[in-house]
Amino acid sequence: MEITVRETMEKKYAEQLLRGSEEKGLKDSIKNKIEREFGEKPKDFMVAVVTSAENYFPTDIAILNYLVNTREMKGVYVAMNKPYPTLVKILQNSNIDTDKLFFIDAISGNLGQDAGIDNCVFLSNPSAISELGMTVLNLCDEKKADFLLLDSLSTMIIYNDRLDSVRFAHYLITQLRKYGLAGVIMSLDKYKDPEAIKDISMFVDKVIYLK
Amino acid sequence: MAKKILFVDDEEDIRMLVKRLLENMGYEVLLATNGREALDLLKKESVDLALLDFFMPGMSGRELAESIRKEPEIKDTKLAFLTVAEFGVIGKEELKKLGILDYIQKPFDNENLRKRIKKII
Repeated sequence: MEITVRETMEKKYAEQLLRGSEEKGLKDSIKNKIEREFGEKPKDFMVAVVTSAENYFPTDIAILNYLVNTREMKGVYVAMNKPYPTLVKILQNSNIDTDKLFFIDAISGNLGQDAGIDNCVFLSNPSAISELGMTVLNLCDEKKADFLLLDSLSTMIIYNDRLDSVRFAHYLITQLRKYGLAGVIMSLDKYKDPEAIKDISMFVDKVIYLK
Repeated sequence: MAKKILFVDDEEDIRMLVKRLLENMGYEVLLATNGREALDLLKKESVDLALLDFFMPGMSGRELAESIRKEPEIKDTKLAFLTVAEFGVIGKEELKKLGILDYIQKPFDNENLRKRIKKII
């Protein structure tokens, strides 16, 4: 009886270790792919990254880790999925140097600059595409960044229609190119909105698919 | 006989402006407001060139071009974009694959438009 219990516990422990290493393996594989894909790119690359829901956040972290920590680039992070306070905590816990990031929070709904936060601008709502466009332009003018990451096109399409979202993403890419910035447009798995991704793919230099 | 151009754009002002310009250049102009209308028109009328906007609600210019290439009776239609869109590396390859003969950026210069269309037809 005792041996059976111990065998069961050891088996469970081994399974946990295996799951842990599978997750770690998965994260490493995303990290390696990002480094390989981004490593070849010139300074002003423009990419769309398409990933599944379950790999979305590890991919986001791997990209920031590479651009901010490894290449020491400064970035603008357009946050449409998580509000600034939550996002910053998560990024810091993932060892991303958030001092190198300026945030545009499109989800919290606090208009203007919060007096206590000097690295974030809050938009009125996620449908405020014009506000977002002006904010990005101002940041480009002030030379605050080397890259911009849009998190994400899929969320933008939830709050705005597809045409407006694609048009805006195109506008963003055009402005970034004018200012010599790199751009990363994040999107969920192609099956969510394949036509939007196909359209966007025509404006970028590469689409990176991470399943 | 005047060469015939189909111009597809969802914005009425642009349609009217381009129609006037192209007619002044001696072309016969058909108009469509969206991709579906354009496909129906192309199946009824033979044109020398279909000039497409990229950003259109419902069916984008890219989707329209793909649809045209899939329809046996209209797949060889000469296509060009008249659009604000700037294409990246992938976009330019995709344009070649779809057989898009040119893309003219808005806002356009009238003389440039005339020359680029003359080059195609």
